[in-house]
Amino acid sequence: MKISKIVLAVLAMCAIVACNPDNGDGGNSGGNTETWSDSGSHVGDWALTEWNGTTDLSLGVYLSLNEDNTFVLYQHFSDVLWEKYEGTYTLSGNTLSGVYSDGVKWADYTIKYNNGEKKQIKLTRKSDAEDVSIYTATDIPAEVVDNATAPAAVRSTERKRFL
Amino acid sequence: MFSVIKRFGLTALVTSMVVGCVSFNEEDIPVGEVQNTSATKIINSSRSAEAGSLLIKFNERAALAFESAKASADVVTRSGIEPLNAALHEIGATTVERLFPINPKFEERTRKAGLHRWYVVRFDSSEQLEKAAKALAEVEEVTIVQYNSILSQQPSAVVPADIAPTTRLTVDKVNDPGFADQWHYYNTGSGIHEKQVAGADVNVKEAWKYTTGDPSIIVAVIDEGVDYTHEDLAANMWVNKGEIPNNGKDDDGNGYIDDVYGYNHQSADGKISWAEKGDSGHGTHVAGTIAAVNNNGTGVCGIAGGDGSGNGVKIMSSQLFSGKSKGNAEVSARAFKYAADNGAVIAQCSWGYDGGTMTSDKDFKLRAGAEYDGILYFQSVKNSDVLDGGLVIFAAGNDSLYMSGYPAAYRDFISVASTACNGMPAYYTNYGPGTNISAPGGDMKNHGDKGGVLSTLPNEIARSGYGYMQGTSMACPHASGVAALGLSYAKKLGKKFSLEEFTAMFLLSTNNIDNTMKNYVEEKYYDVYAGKMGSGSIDALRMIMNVEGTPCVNLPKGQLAMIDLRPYFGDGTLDVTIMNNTTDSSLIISDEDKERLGITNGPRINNGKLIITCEKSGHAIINVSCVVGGKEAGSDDSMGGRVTTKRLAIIVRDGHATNGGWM
Repeated sequence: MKISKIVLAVLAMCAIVACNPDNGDGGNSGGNTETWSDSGSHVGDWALTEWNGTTDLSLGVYLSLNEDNTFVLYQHFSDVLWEKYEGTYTLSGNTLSGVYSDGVKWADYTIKYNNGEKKQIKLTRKSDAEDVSIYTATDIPAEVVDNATAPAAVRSTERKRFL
Repeated sequence: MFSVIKRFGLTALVTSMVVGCVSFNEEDIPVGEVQNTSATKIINSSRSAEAGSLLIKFNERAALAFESAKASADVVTRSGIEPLNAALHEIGATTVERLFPINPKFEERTRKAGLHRWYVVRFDSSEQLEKAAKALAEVEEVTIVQYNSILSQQPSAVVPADIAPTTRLTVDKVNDPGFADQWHYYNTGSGIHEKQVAGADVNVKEAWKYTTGDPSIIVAVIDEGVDYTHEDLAANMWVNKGEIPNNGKDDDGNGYIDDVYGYNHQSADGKISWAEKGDSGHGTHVAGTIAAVNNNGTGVCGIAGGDGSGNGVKIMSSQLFSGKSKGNAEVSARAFKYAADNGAVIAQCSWGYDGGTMTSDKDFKLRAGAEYDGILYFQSVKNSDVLDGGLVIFAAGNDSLYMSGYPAAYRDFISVASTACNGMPAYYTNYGPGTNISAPGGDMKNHGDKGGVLSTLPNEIARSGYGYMQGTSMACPHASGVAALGLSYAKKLGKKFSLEEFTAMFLLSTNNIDNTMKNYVEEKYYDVYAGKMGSGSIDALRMIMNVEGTPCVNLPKGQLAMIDLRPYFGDGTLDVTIMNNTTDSSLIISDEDKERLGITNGPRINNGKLIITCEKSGHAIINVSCVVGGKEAGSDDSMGGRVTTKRLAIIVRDGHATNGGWM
């Protein structure tokens, strides 16, 4: 059943959070600041494990940054459904930017790397230094990949309306 | 008085309505509310009541006495309590039987609901009914006396449809030949009538991309019998697997003999009938709208009829009407209890009392007695993993009246008004207070035969097995079908809802009918309906989307935000009133979330807008209350809307991608 797969995906994300050595440090520092470096690899599959200092996330985000500068984003802010976005990104210095396939731009982020045993990237919004997301390297669950659907905004365009 | 009850199909080609609108008679109102005198114990009128029987609710002592007597005799006429015995003797009682048969499996909850105290007392039909009622009402052990009101049937005209696979187009992947004429599911804007409007439908084709039904969802059609042999229904009929057909035994011990596809409460046996003299095919038509088998290359489609692989929702026939044999309050009450005890999740009820004969919930509660208790019991029973109670859906009535009829109008039931193929209110529909939602019911007077709703019919009624009917009777199963589809999707996702939660989602899965009316030519005819067709026109895709998850509202950080919440409550319908948070319960956000988001003032709601300032980025959940189908919540004393609460997720950030993406 789909739900059980989704639950597994969320549990997998929780497990990533639980194993995060930086857990519980509070604040927006994203853990031990000494571990963050300006160099590292951004390519790979990442799970959002902390946002603005909290790991108690009822929202789920997986981000796949590919070598060919394409990305795939899976997110669920509602209870169950995972939505899939795609597009391209660029990394210029330590500024990560992107454009969705529908032409909508990302915010610009400053990227830092945790190259320790637990691979992580920290993305800080350039427009808001308090908006700090920490992503931890992971395998994106097949259940998420297989069951993700088009974003709600796209689905809604399928609707017919009176007049 | 308790007026006659009727089905809400309409005589299609009769322009002057023959709805017998029985006027309200003040003399029939029970005096006062305290039921401790013999007069106030009698809750309804003897007019239109069955001779030779009364429905009696005893106190616990008497109920136990009758149970004790029943243990030692097949036919019970006396209780062992002397004053009661004397009254029974006086009226010449021939039997005293429990109204709701014993089903050992569910006896505990039956007793908890007090249904074990309802009895049917039968006596010679020559006995004066009022005198008998008075005699019993004077006994201490009797708490309620209800006349066994006869249910009256409104003649329903049928226009047979000629559905032949070779003469109809196939629409996309659906290969049911009749689908092309089912504008009420998928309205292309042509082929029915020059005034039809594309999109004036329940948008089910889009919803079918997500689910087409689930056989664990059982819908009880409380109506005429459903033709369970019909080629386009048989595969989606509920079957009581514990019962051996026609062996004259109650094999599964549920209190009913030979109830395989449901039960004929009218004839008190398992022989479901649909083509008795006087039958119109009403129950079969209604059933087809909910769950005619889809994609079987035959006939028509049902909203939750599956995809042809046996995965449609199931139809249970809890038969209330049968030919010219009229039902009564006793039959009606049993029909709900049966549906609850045998697995139904939705009670589909295309019938009701004449509009205007009851004008408050208090009226209904006071007069409906056993019927009311039976419906409440249905609502209290959990028969599915996905819903913790039973959903009760009634037709609003065809009196062209500015208020919904009862029972539909009762605040805890759903009242469905009717629209035509142009998306406008159908000429006959009731509307206004008590009306919760609208759905296509057709208008054959203004839009021709094909402007009606096309569905299944018994071959005895229409040779082809299909035909058109119109009425809020036909709108009601569209609502039931969409609800069944929503529950099916919840099942697929493994989601669970309380009855309250699901009802809120259901009522807010609508399109704005008022804007449609405003934009619709210059016909002032529709002005009267503005803001009075409930939350709008039901939309199956919206239902699916609402089941999927909590809508997410993006808020800016550090700025005063005024967010119009109405789009999150259906389609901005004017008859959804988002409550200003003058009370604590109209907008709820936890203190923890407030602190996390840096909310120091509010939030508050005014004129449907959420007014909030969040100094910190983050996410939280808020619950917002609204009134569906009115400006104020209904109460015992006044007809009004239904209060529902919607859960919204908010994400606060400094800048959001306009496409909803996280990055």
